Amino acid sequence: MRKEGPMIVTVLSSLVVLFSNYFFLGQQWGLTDRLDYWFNISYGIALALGFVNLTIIHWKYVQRRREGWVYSVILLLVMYGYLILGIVQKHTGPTFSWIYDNMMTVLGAAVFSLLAFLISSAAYRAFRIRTKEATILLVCAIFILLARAPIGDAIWSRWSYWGNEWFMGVLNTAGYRGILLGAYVGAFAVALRILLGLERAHLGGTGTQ
Amino acid sequence: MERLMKIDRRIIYLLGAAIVFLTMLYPLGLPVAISDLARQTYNEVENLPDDAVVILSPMYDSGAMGELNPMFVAFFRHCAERGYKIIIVNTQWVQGPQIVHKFATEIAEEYGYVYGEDWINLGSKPGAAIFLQTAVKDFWEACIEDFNGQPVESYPIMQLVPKVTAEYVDACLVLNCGTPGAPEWLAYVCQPEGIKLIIGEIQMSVPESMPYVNSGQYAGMIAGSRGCAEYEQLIGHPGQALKAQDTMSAIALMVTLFIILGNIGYLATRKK
Repeated sequence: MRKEGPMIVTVLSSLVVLFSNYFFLGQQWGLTDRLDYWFNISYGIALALGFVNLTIIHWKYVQRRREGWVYSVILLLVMYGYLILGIVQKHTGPTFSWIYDNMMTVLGAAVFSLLAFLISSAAYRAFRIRTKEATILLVCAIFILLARAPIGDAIWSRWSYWGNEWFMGVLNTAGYRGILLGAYVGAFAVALRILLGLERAHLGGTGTQ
Repeated sequence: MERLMKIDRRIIYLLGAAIVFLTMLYPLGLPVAISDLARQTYNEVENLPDDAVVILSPMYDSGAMGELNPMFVAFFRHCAERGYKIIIVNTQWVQGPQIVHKFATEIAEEYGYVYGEDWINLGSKPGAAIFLQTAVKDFWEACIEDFNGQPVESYPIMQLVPKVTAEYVDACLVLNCGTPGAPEWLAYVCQPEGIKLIIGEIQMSVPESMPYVNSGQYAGMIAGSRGCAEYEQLIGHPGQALKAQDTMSAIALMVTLFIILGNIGYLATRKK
């Protein structure tokens, strides 16, 4: 029943959503409205479950003094400390906002900024003209790279036109539409397999039947 | 020649950092040509009715704020100049409304905008698609309270928008950096309700969004930092994006030169 139960819930939910969206009667009954509430409630429960799960795992790490257990202590302190501060002050509180603005926001931006340096180094190592395909990729990459910055126009006045308008608007759009259509057909097939009970990866285990 | 293929990555990092600092201290002042797309986006916002109500949705967090904050500022400033009512709200991206609140407050003061009458920050709401679908049916119920924890229906601006439909909302301006983002706004709000959708997109995701622009589903798009620099010029308020363009140019040139050097080394050693 551990597998059958969730599978029955999945199939029933899918049928209700299909019925609600594709049949007039389903829309009149407003079945999806009720499901929307349930979704929001289960989202909240999942968040709380993650919180408890994280606590149990890291508490075990601390108890067993596993390698890096100090970080687990920091995680638990920060997680519960910030939670309590948020409950006391609400999200508009001065200390809560100060920590958020000066730590969370800045750290997030710093991590993302590091990507620029990593990509610079990775581009230098990866872009080699080993094959014809790699050469085309390299030429396109350099062309777009310079088109997206004003330096391209400084070299040749039509650079940004060809890079941004033609390359992105014609070549890229055509290619990307193909990819999107393929992806949506694939997603539809997976949805159908889940509905028919053939795809079981979301229930845990190895998946397909 | 083999050395050209094995330049220490620390040299690349150091040079990159030096270029960032130097171009910030000594800007090159390269002109930024305005593209048709930026002009189209500007016209779409500019030509909304004088009493327009727009939803400005900062669907991002701190990772993308370097690129999207200037877009938020540009959109907010443009809307304030035109006298539109501005509603800030997003779903799932918890940091977004918190990050932009400071900028919104500053620009609102500059234009004499009153909170709750001319603009409002409703904060971040959970639910993604569910929130958007609920907002179409009942915007007040979907939001419940604003950024400051006050009931939304107590504000005059919210009396204008009981539902997110074309009857009450003229355009949605969505700053996009992932999922949920502009495609969700398109699928659940703008397409079914016939509301104009204009987006601001991080450079990395511009290729993904171009098909939607070409099909007309996105009425306009600020495409990355470069697009924002163009938009800032069009609204006549040069900002952070325009300042960043020299740094972008220098870094793009540096990366190109390193790629060329690496390939010279590769070709020379391969011939041996």
